Amino acid sequence: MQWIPEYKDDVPRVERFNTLARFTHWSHTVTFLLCLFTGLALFLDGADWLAAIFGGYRGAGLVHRIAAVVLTVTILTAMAVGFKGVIAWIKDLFRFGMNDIGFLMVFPLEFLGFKVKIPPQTRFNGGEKMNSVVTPTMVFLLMISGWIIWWPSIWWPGLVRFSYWVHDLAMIFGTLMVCMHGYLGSFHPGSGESFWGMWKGTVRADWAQHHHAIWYDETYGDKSKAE
Amino acid sequence: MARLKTNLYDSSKCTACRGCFSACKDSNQLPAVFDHSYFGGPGNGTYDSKDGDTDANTYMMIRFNETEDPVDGVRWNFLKWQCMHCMDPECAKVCPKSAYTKLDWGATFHDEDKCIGCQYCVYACPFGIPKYRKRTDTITKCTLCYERVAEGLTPACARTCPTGAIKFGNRDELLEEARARVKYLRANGFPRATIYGETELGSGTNKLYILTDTPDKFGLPVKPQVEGNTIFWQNWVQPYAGWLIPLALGGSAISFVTSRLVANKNGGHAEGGHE
Amino acid sequence: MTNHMVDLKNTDVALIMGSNMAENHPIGMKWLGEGRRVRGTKIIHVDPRYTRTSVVADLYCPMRSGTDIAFLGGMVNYIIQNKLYHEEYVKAYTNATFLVADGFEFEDGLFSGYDTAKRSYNNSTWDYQYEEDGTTIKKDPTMSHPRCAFQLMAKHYLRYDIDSVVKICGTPKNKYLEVLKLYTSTGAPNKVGNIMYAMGITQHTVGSQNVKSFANVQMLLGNMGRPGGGINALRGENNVQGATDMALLFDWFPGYISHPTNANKDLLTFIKGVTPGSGKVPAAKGATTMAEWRAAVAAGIPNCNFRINMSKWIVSTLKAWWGDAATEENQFAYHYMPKRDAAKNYSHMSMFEAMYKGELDGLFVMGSNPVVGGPNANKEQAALTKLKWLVSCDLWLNETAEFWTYRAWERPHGGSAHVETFAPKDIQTEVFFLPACAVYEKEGTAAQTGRWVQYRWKGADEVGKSKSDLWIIDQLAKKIKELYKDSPREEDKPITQLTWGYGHGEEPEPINVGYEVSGYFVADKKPIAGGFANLKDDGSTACGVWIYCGQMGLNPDGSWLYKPMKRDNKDNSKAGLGLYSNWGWCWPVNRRIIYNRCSIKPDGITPWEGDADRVLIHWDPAVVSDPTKPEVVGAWVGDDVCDCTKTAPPEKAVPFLMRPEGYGCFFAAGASFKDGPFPEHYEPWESPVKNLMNSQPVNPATKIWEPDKLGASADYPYIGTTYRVVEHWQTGALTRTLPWLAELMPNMFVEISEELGAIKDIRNGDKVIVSTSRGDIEAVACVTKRIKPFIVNGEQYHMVGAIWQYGFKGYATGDPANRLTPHVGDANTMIPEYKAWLCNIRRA
Repeated sequence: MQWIPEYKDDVPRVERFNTLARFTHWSHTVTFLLCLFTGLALFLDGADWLAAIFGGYRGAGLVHRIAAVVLTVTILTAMAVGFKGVIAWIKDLFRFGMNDIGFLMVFPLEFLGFKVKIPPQTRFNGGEKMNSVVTPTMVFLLMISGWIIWWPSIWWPGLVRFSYWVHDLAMIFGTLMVCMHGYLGSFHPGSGESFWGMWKGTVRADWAQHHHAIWYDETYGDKSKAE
Repeated sequence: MARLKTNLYDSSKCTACRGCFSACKDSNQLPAVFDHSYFGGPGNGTYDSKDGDTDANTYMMIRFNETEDPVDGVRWNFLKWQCMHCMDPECAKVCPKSAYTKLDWGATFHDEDKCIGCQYCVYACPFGIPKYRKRTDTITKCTLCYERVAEGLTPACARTCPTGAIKFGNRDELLEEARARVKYLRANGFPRATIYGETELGSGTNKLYILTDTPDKFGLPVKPQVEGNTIFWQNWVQPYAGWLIPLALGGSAISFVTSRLVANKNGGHAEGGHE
Repeated sequence: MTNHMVDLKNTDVALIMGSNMAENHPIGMKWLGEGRRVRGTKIIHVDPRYTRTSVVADLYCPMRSGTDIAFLGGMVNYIIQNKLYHEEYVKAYTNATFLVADGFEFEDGLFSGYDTAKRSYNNSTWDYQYEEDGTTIKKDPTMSHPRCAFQLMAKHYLRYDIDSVVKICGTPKNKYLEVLKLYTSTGAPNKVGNIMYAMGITQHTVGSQNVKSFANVQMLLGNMGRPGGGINALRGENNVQGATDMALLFDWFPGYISHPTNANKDLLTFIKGVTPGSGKVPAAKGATTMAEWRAAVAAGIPNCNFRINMSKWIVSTLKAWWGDAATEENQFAYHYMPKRDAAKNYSHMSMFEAMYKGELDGLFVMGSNPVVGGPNANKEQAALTKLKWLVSCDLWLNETAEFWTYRAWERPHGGSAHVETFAPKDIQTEVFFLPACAVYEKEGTAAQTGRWVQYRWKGADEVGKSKSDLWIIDQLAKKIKELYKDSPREEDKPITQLTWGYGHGEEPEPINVGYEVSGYFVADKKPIAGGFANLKDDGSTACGVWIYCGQMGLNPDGSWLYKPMKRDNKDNSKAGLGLYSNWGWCWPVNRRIIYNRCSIKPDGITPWEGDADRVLIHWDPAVVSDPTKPEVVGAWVGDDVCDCTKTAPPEKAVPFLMRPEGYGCFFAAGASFKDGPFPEHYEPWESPVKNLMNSQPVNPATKIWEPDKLGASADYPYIGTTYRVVEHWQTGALTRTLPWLAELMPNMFVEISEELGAIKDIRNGDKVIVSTSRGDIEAVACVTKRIKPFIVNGEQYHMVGAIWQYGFKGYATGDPANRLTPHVGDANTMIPEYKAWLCNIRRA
């Protein structure tokens, strides 16, 4: 059984994510997961074993806080440094159209492995767009509520109480998206090259053309040359 | 369930000598913390120390509430302020570590060894009682002197009270006493005298108060309640929303299997997907 | 206290005046609460401020500081005009019926006999009218004779009508009327009212007369000598009662006998001076030997009453002091005893004034802290610099022990021109410090406010090298005796022959002191278990303090029974009056409520109407009290020890044994008071208003030390007063050093009304400067609703209340409020006028 597709460098490849994007993505992955697991130790009842991994609750708390600081700092820094990329990303999100709706409609079938006809997609397909909206929103909510919870005494108590469930709920939705994203981005047979796009930065040109036709055309295909 | 034991505080007998305050500190070996910058809370002109609230080194205190109205003139209402030991304590519900337990005789017991200092309880408590103590990274609050009670003694505050304003005993008996006292007070110059703690928060608290006036004149919430935010968090988010994560994981697992079964027919990873 | 703490529960109406009882006597307050529970006691609180006591009172009534006599005079007038007095009581137990000498007069605030130059009275006209024999006082049983004490009093207080009183006191009229109605309801025979007071009453230039006003009210209402009644001084320290019993004050000989002066050249002169009525009996007046005196006493001295035994008490005390060296031949070593200069006053203020002038070399300060607690503390601190040496004996290095440090001379804004400050290098006083034990680290007795003498066992070991005060005094005496032991000189005999033996080793035994205080038979050294009735003036008995005689009893096996150690907490009274006669011991002769003859009707058999439960003693005509004298039939029996001659039949058993006339005095005859037989309202020395009752600005008999320091109301428009908080004790030397207590009240603060806050733009928590002509202090302002301005004679006057317990040592620090208070005091006791003075306040 194959987990992820083989990396092939003997076929034409095109760049999908630059170094900054990839660095941010993976550092975010690590810090988010650290926060997640240390946080789950509190969220789940009887998750002492989870805390034990980090040396108990004090250790888990410390890791949670360190990871949260790194997470916040890297995201904010990356957003500042790669401001253009962020804008491009957001711009792509706004190109949500019929093709994306089409994608989302047939996606459940594809999810289960059936072969489906998918409309041409931009750089991010409908599902990815959804992930790109929900996950960052949740992370920002997590960040803001987390910082409030960290220093509760300086805030209005009602805000702290609000932050508790916001933090929980954002974690749940964020984690939900992360689970799906992780699975779809890596292990789903239909996702193919997308893992390597984030790992190595490049994807096979034929895959890109097939999966993100609009983007491929605009970036590497006829349309880009026409410009 | 054992018979409930509780403290009854009679505000009509209290002279605010604050013997209980010192006895509490002595019994719990809490340090004195000096803040020469304060005298009372800003603008309230009272003898309140600690700005009128408990803190990590002060489990209980007497609060001073000055009121004035044309009928009664100036009144100085004293209130013993500490953990109310709610019958259905919210702190115990939000605590992720089950550091809070409701002892069978009524005390809401907080186990500092289990506490991890998350401070959820601080903001869940309808009275804002639990306080975070930085030096131990734990929460602290009134213990109802459970160690003393276990030894057959009365809590330190009740033990020291010279005027009989604080009494410790069986809750049902004290409630009877409180009802009689309130009846007496209502007939003797305190028409708004009331019992506090009998039914508050639905199931009541395991600290009973005889108040000579309405609770708001003592700085107590007239209708104490758990914040909506906390209820939503505890009753909905915590028990149910979490299931979304296993749902996502399960879905992925199904997809992992089915897609591979289906994909084996339709071509796998090697083809890069939809060839 | 004429009654005692537990007895507070027996009262129907309690008037707390000039005391913040809940704050300063929180434990005693419990018994008023018990009274509320068992008999619905009503509590009235009269005070310039709304305090913690007001909170638990049923009725709070404000009153301007220093106007107590007006307030109570109005009450006397109200009682008399509305005939609310307990008539049978007044006629039987007081001097209301006595006729007063024709020479006695009162005019515009002055009684007859005033000497303007000396600022004192010649009291020769303050006397009764006598029958031809010169000793029997003329009486008018109907109380209608214009010269009878009752009518004179009625006339005196006629001016104190309600409107005049509220004008002076700044009391709302409706509140005053409520107080009058509620308290005078105790004039009914079945009701008893209790008055409790403390320093708010005494610390005035008219302090003693304030208390006398209480006496007038209580006697009119028939509240003296009955359970739940009395005049009850709430003692501020637990053993103040004991200290005064032992004659700690300069003008007392042990047991409240006037101390001899240099005018009392020999023992007999002294005895005659303190035995009232002896001047009118030729045999007594002319006695030249003790034998002649004894014969005169045996023959009887009219208008002397129980004080006829004075010689027995004095001789027994001298015998206790000088033992075998005190013989009849040498006047029982009377000449060994130091006498005070009759022309001099040795009270606290006089002493510090003398010290300031450099008249004193050394000072031994024990359990006292004048730099914080003394009036005009700036001056008193400066006076300490004039000493050669100072010994401070305390638990900590308090402000007095460190009066010479830089910190001690810090003043707000560097001080002002009229306040002296010193640098340590300029102070030559050598200071010694003796670390003392805390109260729980030593053994011994303490006499509490209700005269109960209770033994206290040691609760904890002493800290470090600290020692009990008994040890310190004992060592001092032993060392002095050691230094003089070989001296052959006559003048050293008071030291060499002084009896001193309270234990065999280094440690003194408190019980041995108790034994000597209680007294013993010289022959067999056995304790005088029977009390002071057994004392003799022939040298056969020795007794340190006659009122304590009998506190050491004898067990059946002959061993000592030290009664203050008794701990039987069963109430011995049948009606549950809470006498607890077997708990500790109470002077005199374990009599729990004094003047208890008044607890029953004059016939000694019938209880007061509707008040059978509160009878303490009654006359049993059939009982034989002394089996050795079967011929004496009839005696006073009951729950308490009778306060009259035990076998005297009701018509002869006078209720006030220690008064020469034997009765309660509305008209205080003779030398009872230095400032008049009736209390009259005078303003405090510093007052913003002029006296509305007469043209005297201040008590005319009061000594004024510093006339130049009289603050004018133009410069100092606000009334200042001082008081304590429950969190700190006295000068705070103890409590401000205990973190848990210091934490509760960490800062020196002054309380002002919201109205004054608005005028002076002072908000709660602001730093303020309070100043008087004596000095200024910095404090935190507490702007509160609990203090209200007073409307006096139509104008608004504000009050500034200062806590006086702060100093520069300990955890809780602040400027001593006594830097503001004046050097002026009561005409009789010289207690300083801490409670009413003038000041100004501004934001710092």
